[in-house]
Formats: sequence, C-alpha cells, structure tokens
Amino acid sequence: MRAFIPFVCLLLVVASCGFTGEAGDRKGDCLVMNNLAEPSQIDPALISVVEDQRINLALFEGLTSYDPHTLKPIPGVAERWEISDDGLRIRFFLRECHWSQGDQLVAEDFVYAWRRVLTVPGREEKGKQSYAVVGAYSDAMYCLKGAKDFHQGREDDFGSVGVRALDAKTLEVELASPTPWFLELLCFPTFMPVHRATVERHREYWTRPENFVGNGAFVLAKRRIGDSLTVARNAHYWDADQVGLDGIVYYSTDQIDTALDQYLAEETDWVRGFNPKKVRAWRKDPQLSRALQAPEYLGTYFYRLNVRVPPLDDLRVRLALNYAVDRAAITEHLTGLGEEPARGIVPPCAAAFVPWQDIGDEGISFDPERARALLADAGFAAGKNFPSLTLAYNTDVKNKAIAEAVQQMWREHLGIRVELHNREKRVHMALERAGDYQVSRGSWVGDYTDPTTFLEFLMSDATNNRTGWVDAEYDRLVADSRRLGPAKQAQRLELLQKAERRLIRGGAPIIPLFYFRTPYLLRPERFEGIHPNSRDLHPPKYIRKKRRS
Amino acid sequence: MAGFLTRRLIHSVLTLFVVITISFFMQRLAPGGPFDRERDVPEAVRVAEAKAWRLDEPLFVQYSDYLGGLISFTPDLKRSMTRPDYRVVELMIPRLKVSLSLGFAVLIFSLLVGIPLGAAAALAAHNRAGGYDHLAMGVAVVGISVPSFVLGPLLKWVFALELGWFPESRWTGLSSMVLPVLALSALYIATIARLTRSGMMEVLSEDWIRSARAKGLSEVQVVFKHALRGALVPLVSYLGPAMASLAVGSVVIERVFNIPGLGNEFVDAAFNRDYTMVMGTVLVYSSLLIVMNILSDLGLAWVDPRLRLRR
Repeated sequence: MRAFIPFVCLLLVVASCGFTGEAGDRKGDCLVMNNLAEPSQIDPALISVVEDQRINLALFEGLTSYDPHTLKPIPGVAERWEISDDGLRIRFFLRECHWSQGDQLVAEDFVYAWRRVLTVPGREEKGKQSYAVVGAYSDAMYCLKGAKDFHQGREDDFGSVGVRALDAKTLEVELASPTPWFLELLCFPTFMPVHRATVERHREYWTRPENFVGNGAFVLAKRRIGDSLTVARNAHYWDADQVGLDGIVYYSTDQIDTALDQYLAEETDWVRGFNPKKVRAWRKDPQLSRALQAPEYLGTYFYRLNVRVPPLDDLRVRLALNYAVDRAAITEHLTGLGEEPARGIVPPCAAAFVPWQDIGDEGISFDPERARALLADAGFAAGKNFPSLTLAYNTDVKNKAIAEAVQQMWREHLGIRVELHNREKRVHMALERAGDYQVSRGSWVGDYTDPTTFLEFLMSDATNNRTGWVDAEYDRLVADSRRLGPAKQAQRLELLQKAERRLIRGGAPIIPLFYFRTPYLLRPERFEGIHPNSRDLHPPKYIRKKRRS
Repeated sequence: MAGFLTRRLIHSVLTLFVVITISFFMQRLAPGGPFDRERDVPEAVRVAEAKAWRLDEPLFVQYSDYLGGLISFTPDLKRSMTRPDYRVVELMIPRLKVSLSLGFAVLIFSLLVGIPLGAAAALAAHNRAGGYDHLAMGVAVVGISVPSFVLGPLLKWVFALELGWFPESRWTGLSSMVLPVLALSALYIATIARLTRSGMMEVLSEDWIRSARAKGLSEVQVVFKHALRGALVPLVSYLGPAMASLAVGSVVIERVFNIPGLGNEFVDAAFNRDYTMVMGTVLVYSSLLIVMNILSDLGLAWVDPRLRLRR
C-alpha cells in the first residue's frame, strides 16, 4: 500500500494546477458581464458577430463613436467634419490622440486599416510586410468610391479608392453614392484604425494581450481561454478623464442557464440571452423585474420561402401562408418579451434617425379567411392536393416552439401538412445558401439604423436574399433610393416605403413574424451610463459605478 | 516487457492514423463549414476566405498537407479557424490542464472513498453484519443510477445558489472544484465500491487468508496486507478505461459548471466547424485513450504477478 502514497501525491499536484480564473476578478471599479460566446475575433477587420463587437467598443474608437443614449454618431477620433452638398465628399479633422503605447494616431492609420480590409491575401502591397485578412464585413466598405472594384480585383490601384490622408490630421473620404448612414457606419469595427507597426510585426498574433495596441478607452489586459477576457483602462486615451470604470471582465458562458446562475449568484452584473420562459416567472419578482430590460431591437425574425420550388413559386400560395399566421399569438405566448408582431421587414425602431413610416395596415396581418381564399384560388381549396411542406430551423428552443405553432396554424387555417426539420446552425446556413429548403427560419439584424439595411438584402442579386425571388420593380425602387442625396430625404424614404410594400404584398418571398427585443438583466443599483437602445450596444466609456451616498 | 511495449506503440500509431483519417474526411463530408454565417458574404469574399485557409484545394491535398504538418520534427496542428490569433495547441493546453486536473481529482476522491466503502461492506457481509453492507451497496446503486447531469445541477442549486457555500461555476480555485468533483465522482465511487466489495468477498474466503489468520496476524494486517491487494485486481483493470473516460468524458459537467476544459472546446469546435480545432481535440482525446489503456495494462501486471508470467 505504501507504493500508493507517492502516486496519490503526484495526482494531487496535477489536480491542483490549471486554474483559469481568479476569485478576485473585481479589482477597483469593475464591471463583470456575460458575453455569451467565447470571443472569436479581436482584430476589428475580422469582426462579424455582436459579441466581438461589444469588446471592440471598449478597445477601439473610430472616426465617429456612438452616443450612449441614442447611438447617433458623435465625434470620436474625428473632432469635426465637413460634408459636401451632394453628400459624397466628407473631410474629417482628427483630434490630438494617441495609441495605447503612446504613438500619435494619424490619418494615415485609417488609410492603412481600410486598405487592409479591402486587400485580400495574395494581393498585398509589393515588398511590404503587410498582413492581409479576409473580413466577413469587408463589403460594408463598398460604400466608398472604388472600394468594390479594388476589393474584388477589378482595379489594382488603391489610389482609386475614395480615402486619402491630406495631412496627419485630415482624412478625406469619397463615397460611391449618397450614404446617409455613413457616419454611423464609421462606428462599426470594420472601419476602426489599426496600429500599423504592431500589425506588421506580430501579424496574426497582434491581437493577443501581450502584443495588443488599440486606441479605445480600454486596452486588452488578459485573456483566459474558455473563461474570460479582461480589458483595463487605457491611460493614453484622449478622453481618459471621462472613463468611469477601471476595467471590464467579459465572461464567455454560452450556456444560457449557467450564465443566468452566475448572475443570480452575484458573480456577474450583466447577463443576456436567457430563456424567455423564465422571464415571465421573474416578472413577479420585484427585484429581478427591476433589473430586467427588454428594449426593442433592430432586427426581424422571419421565414424565407424558396420561390424556386412549387407550390411556393405561386404568389397566392406565399400570401396565403403569410395571412394564415397568427403572429400576435406567437409573441404573446411563445416569445413573451413584449415583441411586436411583424407587418413588414423593417422594424419600427429603424425610425430612430429618419422619419420612417411603419408599413402599418398595408403590411401583412392575420386573416385566415383571406388566406383560404388565396389558397383556393391557387387550386388548393382547403389544402386539397397541396404537397407536404418542410419548415427548417436551426436548433433552438424558441425556434422549435415557433415552428410548431406555425405548423399548427397552417394545418388549422389552410389544411396543409408541414414537416419540421431541425438542423444544426452551420448546416442550416449551408443548405439555405444552396437553396435546399422550402421554408426556412431566418433573421436579419440591421447593420445601421436605416430601412435600407433591411431592404437591400432582398434585392435580386444580393447574397443574403437566398429565396430566389427576383423582382425588377423592387430592385429599381431600392436602387433609385440610393441615388438620392441628403436634400431628398423624404423622396428617398418614399421609394423605400414603396419597396417594402412591393416586397410584402407583391412578392412575399418571406414571412415576417416579429420584431426582436433583446432582454438583459443589469443591476440597476450598481451602474449608471447604460441606456436601453435598439442595437443593444453600450459604449463602455460612459459606464460608471454608482457611489452610495 | 519491452516487446510488449513496442507492439503496443506500433498499434497505437496505426490507431491514431486511422482516427485522424476518418475524422478528417467525416467532418468535411458533413454539411456546413466554418464560414457559413447568417449574414452571408459576397462571392468574392467567400472565394478569398476559402483560399486564405486553403479550403479551395482538393480534399486529398488538404489531407496530406495536414498529415505532413503532423509528421515532422515540429508537429503543427495549425491555427484555429474561429480564433485565428491562436494556434490549436495554444488553445488546447490550458484547457487540457483543466480537464486533466478535474479528472484526476475525481479519480483520487473516488478511490479514497470507494475502496474503504467497498472493503467495509465486504467485511460487514463476511462477518454477517448485513445492515451496513445493504446500506453501503444501496448508496452505490443510487450513485450508479443518478447521472451526473442530474446530480450536477442539483448540487449547484443546493450548495451554490441556495446555501452559497461554493462558487456555482468556473474554475477559480479549490472551492470551485468541490461541486463538479462530487457530481462526477458519484458514479466512480459506486463502481469502485462494488468492485472492491466483490473482489474482497472472493478473497476473504480463500485458503491463504485463512493461513494468514492462522499465522497469528492481526485482523488489520490480514485485511490491508493480504485481502485488499488481492481484491484490487478487478479494480485496476476497471481503472484504465475509467481514467480514459474521466479524462475525456466530463463534457456535460464542464457545460453545467462552465469549466473551461477541453470537452467544452471539443463540442464548440464541432458545432462551429472549426476544422483544425476538431482535428486537434480528436487527436488529443484518442492519444489519451490509448495511453490510459496502456497504463492500465501495465498496472494490471504490477498488481497481479500471474499476468506478468503469462507474457
């Protein structure tokens, strides 16, 4: 038996190593939040998911930055700017500011960063140590003059792209067409400056804590794989005096129930993405319901209809499927956060910056009579001879419940049979892109606060259309709206309104179900400077701890 | 002995090769890829992305490229596709440490509790004190039947959320180990106790135990020096596979307690179609299984001299 003793000692030693977190994460005025997924990309050129964008908001600052209340673009690195009358030429005047290791930030840093986004690997500058990447959001830059041609290899000269550093403090941008939301787009990670020397020295590893250089209110301090990411105050930030927190810890717990437990056990101050069913139970708990926020979100939950396969190639069938869905029942009983049933594709909160008129009664509604009439008209009275449909969704409790409800509604109101297909997320996306589906769950979240972001993706040649719906009239309306400058705002919105009507009533390649809300729990007694908004983005610069008086 | 080890090593390498090959092609045959997103990118970006990761080349070229990276003086598991600022190895090592320490802690705890429990039950039964035996074995049956994914959340609810004695998640220190180790140990304690008990029962009625007693040895010496050692043979042959499954099989508990172990990474990598990461984790897991099995064979030979002679 004595032989066991060293063995046990060895095991004890091994067992006690490998701790990845410290119990004392909260040092100073620190916010601990759950960010759901493990951070995927820190490099702003590569960011494509909102979890990474949240961290980006702390680490980088663009020419403009978000107003903490409204998310309207306010001066960031650029102190002020001048816009030409046609809205196509903008001159940015940069403030005196520095990178986190002390270097001065100059206009050329933006040119370098944007060039990097638009350069695919293999087409780097000759003789330079530049490191090219493929960013999932590089097409957001196509609003710059010449950017699309340069990015896709039809033009080799970067001089043709509409961005130039006139001097160290002046950046001139030229747009391909009027883009009223351009200043807002500049807050997006893709447009952030990067520190050239750091990127070129460390290449793909420049975003590690030991190499990182940024220009935001915080710097990357620590990264524990699978556990958390920590940012700390950036002493070189130009507005460092205004920064209220010493640091932020982002936990990566993608198990929503575990994330919720962490909040309930007071380990975290902020949690999102939980099961809506639980929310309804909480509404009764006074403390939790005070902490619960569920603001409207700039996103729409919908189903795509594959118009290339019969019987979905018939507009009457698509409309019938649309009219037979009782959206209010879904939002009331299944989603439960006070979501608004969708009438069109553009959520009402898209009106935050422009006077957008919601589609209202001209949109789609619940009308089983009309649905039955349309279906009969298409030759399937009471669902007779209607082939069995498949409805595909990516694995998720909520998606499943909604799909089952819709299945039931179509059976009850139209007499048609629907088979549900539950698929892994990546499989779902791949099959949808291949056009291998009949009805498929989708969602769209606006990239900026303008209806255009919700209408462009369904144009005939848009990659994200994926329904096979081709409509010259719709394309013309949206394309025409892009040609109108800032002076013709009303006319532009009118064209977009027509386009949405055309989409919903005259094409119906989608079944909009509801407009999202984003629930989160935040300890209201501890922090201030976090304001509910339609993008669920909260610039960390303005967050501060409440002082108990 | 040397011949046995060489043979096992050659077998292991072959096994690993087959595992790598099968997993490489299987994950590629599965629909969906690392760059399939809700918001799709323009075709030009898609092509450039595939090219940057060499996904546009024929599958066999990619396969031989991967294999070539592995078989070299500096084996290369490539960069992770979803976290390109880290190499697969760098992402796995901290997580492997966590998984292994969790596994070993469970193993030690289960042995420390399971063996005395089983031995005591056997002695009780042997001495016709059935009450304790029934109690111990009843507890064991419960341990075997309640799965860790039930026990885990239950323990968490009572001891972390209601009583607040232990942290409810993460891997931050000894106190954070308590609940996951308890949740995972139940099954192993129960199995070890049962194996020890049956091994002991068998041994206690052997002739050489009677002669040990006849020699005038104390009961303690009889039990610990003679009976227990004989009773450990079935236990050691169980420990090999058990250690392997402990090292790889705590995915559920890692999820419940948000422990940054390799199991969590494995599942995420598979769902995200992070090809390089999946290959890395598969490689580590299969190597672990193989090593643990070799170790358990060696352990068996150590405990039971008869097996040594047979080879």
